[in-house]
Amino acid sequence: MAKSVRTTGDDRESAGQGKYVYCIIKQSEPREFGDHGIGTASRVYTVHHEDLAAVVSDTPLKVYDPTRENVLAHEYVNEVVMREFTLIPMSFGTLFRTEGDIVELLRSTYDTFDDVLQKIEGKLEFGLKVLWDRERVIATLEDSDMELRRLRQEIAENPQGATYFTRVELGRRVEEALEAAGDRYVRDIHTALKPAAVASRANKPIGERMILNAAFLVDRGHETEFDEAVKGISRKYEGQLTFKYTGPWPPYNFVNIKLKLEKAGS
Amino acid sequence: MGLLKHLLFWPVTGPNFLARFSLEKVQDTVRQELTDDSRIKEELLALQIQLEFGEIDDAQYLEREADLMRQLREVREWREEFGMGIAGGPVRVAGAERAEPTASEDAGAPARPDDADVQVHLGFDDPAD
Repeated sequence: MAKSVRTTGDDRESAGQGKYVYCIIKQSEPREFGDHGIGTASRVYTVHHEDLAAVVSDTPLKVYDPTRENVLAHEYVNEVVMREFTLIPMSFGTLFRTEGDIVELLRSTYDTFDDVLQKIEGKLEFGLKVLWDRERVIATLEDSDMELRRLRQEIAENPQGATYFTRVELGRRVEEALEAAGDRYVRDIHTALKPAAVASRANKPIGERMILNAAFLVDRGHETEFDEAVKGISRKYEGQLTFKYTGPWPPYNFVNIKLKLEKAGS
Repeated sequence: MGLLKHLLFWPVTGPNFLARFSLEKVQDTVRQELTDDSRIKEELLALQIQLEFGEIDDAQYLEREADLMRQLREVREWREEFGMGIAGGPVRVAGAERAEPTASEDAGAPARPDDADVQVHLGFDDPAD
């Protein structure tokens, strides 16, 4: 199968300029949001259809790699917009050739955008990643689990003689105890935070140390309450768990819009 | 390359090997491997976590990131090769403007594209499961 010869990566450009779309907001009058355009630090402005607007910046027509730098540039624009508006974030790397193409997007998806914007009005997303130190947790578990302690001691006292079965048994018990402990922590955190939140999304934890990788949707009016709840639960588990709390974000985890798009051919 | 490597080193046990893995199935599997970016994206996420928690420094991060970007580009190119999806260039609303009634469409229907698929998640994901 012949692979067509092409230049790769960021250097691949089609002739001409396009517009990078960051998000959709409710806004009738044209607005600008500073010179933070991705790649070129160009002007960020709006393209309208009735009272909906797409926040965009001019860009060469190219494929943007989802590097940390590029993703942060995209997120920064949304952060700026979010200070004043409820927004629907666009997927990273969404470019249109012309203003007309963007107006067509707003026109054809008007009802959906309008409906979603109403549903997420005044709501902020916060991220929470929780990590633990396995060895530390196991040590804590051994304090309360006699059987675990007994098995560990048996192997420690007689490492040569300790049977394969004993080792497997210990391994199994440790995993079980860890899983149960993890579940308890996660449930407890959830109980503490749920009252101040509107919704939550549990994503797949990444890496060995992570036991929770969640996003919470919080109403602006309850932001302080939620903040306090996070502080409280992280104080409760200080020394045992590490909390990484981020936000506010646009509702990346709570809105999933699959636009019917096609390639804007050459 | 996980599954592909597995296939390449599969112990050959004789005639049964060919019977179980017809050429078509191998081609399907290879295509899947070449056009699937989910593993690369997972690696990217894991890499970012390592950076966030100070397990690696900026220089190490950038080096590994560059490699992952290269892999993503390759997958994009294979996807385009197989006619699967957009390779990240400019897009537009599917079927806009140029939509003329075709033989299979109702000649009197307005040429308005389908509305988007949307999910707003306003529930609570069950913890610990």
